[in-house]
Amino acid sequence: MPPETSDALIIPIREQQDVLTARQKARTIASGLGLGIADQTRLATAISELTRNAILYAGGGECQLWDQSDDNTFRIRVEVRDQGPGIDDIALAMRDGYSTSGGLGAGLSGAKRLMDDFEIETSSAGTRVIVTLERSRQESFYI
Amino acid sequence: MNALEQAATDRFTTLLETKRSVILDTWVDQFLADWEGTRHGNLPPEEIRAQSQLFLDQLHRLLQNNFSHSWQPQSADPIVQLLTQLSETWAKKGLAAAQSTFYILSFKRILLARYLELESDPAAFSAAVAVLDLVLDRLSLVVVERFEMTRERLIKQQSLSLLELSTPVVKIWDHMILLPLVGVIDTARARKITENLLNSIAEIEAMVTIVDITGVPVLDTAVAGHLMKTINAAQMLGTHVILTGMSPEGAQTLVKLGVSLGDITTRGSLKAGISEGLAALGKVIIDGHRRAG
Ligand SMILES: Nc1ncnc2c1ncn2[C@@H]1O[C@H](COP(=O)(O)OP(=O)(O)O)[C@@H](O)[C@H]1O
Ligand SMILES: [Mg+2]
Repeated sequence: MPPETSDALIIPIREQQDVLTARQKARTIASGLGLGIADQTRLATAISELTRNAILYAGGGECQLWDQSDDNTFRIRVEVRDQGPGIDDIALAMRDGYSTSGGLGAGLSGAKRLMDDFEIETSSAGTRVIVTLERSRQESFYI
Repeated sequence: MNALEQAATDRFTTLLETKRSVILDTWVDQFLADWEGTRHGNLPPEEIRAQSQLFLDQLHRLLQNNFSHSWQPQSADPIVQLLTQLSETWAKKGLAAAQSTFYILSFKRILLARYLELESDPAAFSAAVAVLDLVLDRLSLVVVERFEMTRERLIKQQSLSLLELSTPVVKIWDHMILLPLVGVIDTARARKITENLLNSIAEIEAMVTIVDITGVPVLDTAVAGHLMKTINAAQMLGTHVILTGMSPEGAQTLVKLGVSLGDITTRGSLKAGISEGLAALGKVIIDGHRRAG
């Protein structure tokens, strides 16, 4: 896992409004890199899913955003963590349609499909999900 | 209460009997004068006068009946009820919080001035101040608290009505309505939207309902879930639902999320949705220019 650099953007997640803030900041980073609307939307949606989960299941948490682009690749890394009760059965939680809250149960699995890398760690001390959007600088992906 | 405080209390009781009308006049005049030009305009002077009169009566009764240090305003006290009602009215009429506090404090000043005319001994005077502090400061707290509670409630009500305002259902043709969704759809709003929509559908017997999501920034699973519930409920009332305004990115994202909106007609643009709706109603759009030419 890459070191947590100091230039991470940290957004406390407590309520709906913070979800919007996190989404907005991520969009700004993505558009600043020249990523198109489609990628911005993916990123915003994944963040929406993870931060909403933090609010709903853990009473809030924190969202960190990094621009880790290098010479060859645009790379935006998002980490959403909370200190909630954790997830009992990750395999089950990752399954499409599984929800303990009467939701669609497609948040975690959907975020995984939307992004290029997905990691999750969970214990009774909390949950941490890290997702990354990666695009080669060579390609063109404007929409 | 010590002897000096008891004496002061008795003196106030007497003052409220013998100087009642002059105290009342000075108090009301001063209050009105101090807020000249501010917003007591919609607060009729007669009303202030009547309320102040009641206040004097209640205060008189309070001081007369074994008034002591242990007295605390209780919501059942008539004087507390009077002030509660007064601050609610003032808060609703948009007066400043300072005005309601000033109301009690100016009364305190006037009463003390009257007291000084009778008794100038410093020890007696400071006992008098202590007695008034005891009763009036506590009462002014009641006023401020109630004032703020009322304000908060008003603000909550206003944001609730904003909720309603922001989910208008528009009748665009006989038996055809449009629900333009704009902004963030959380659970509270989704419930309100569904409620409004179902009422409108029933009211105008809508056969076609167009739900336009052009203004919805992110279609995540929570929003999609709300949307599906709203649409399903509408369909249950027998209306044909057409979803419009989904962006290509939104559609892609939904597919990636693995969410399907089920069995509904979707059209890219609102315009296409309206033509579709009219067609479903058996109406045809004719280009008037071409026909005339
Ligand atoms: N941060 C979290 N803390 C605890 N449990 C979680 C967290 N995120 C997800 N879960 C669990 O995983 C399940 C699946 O989550 P998700 O795929 O987002 O679907 P949904 O939120 O619709 O239920 C949730 O119902 C919940 O039980
Ligand atoms: Mg979820």
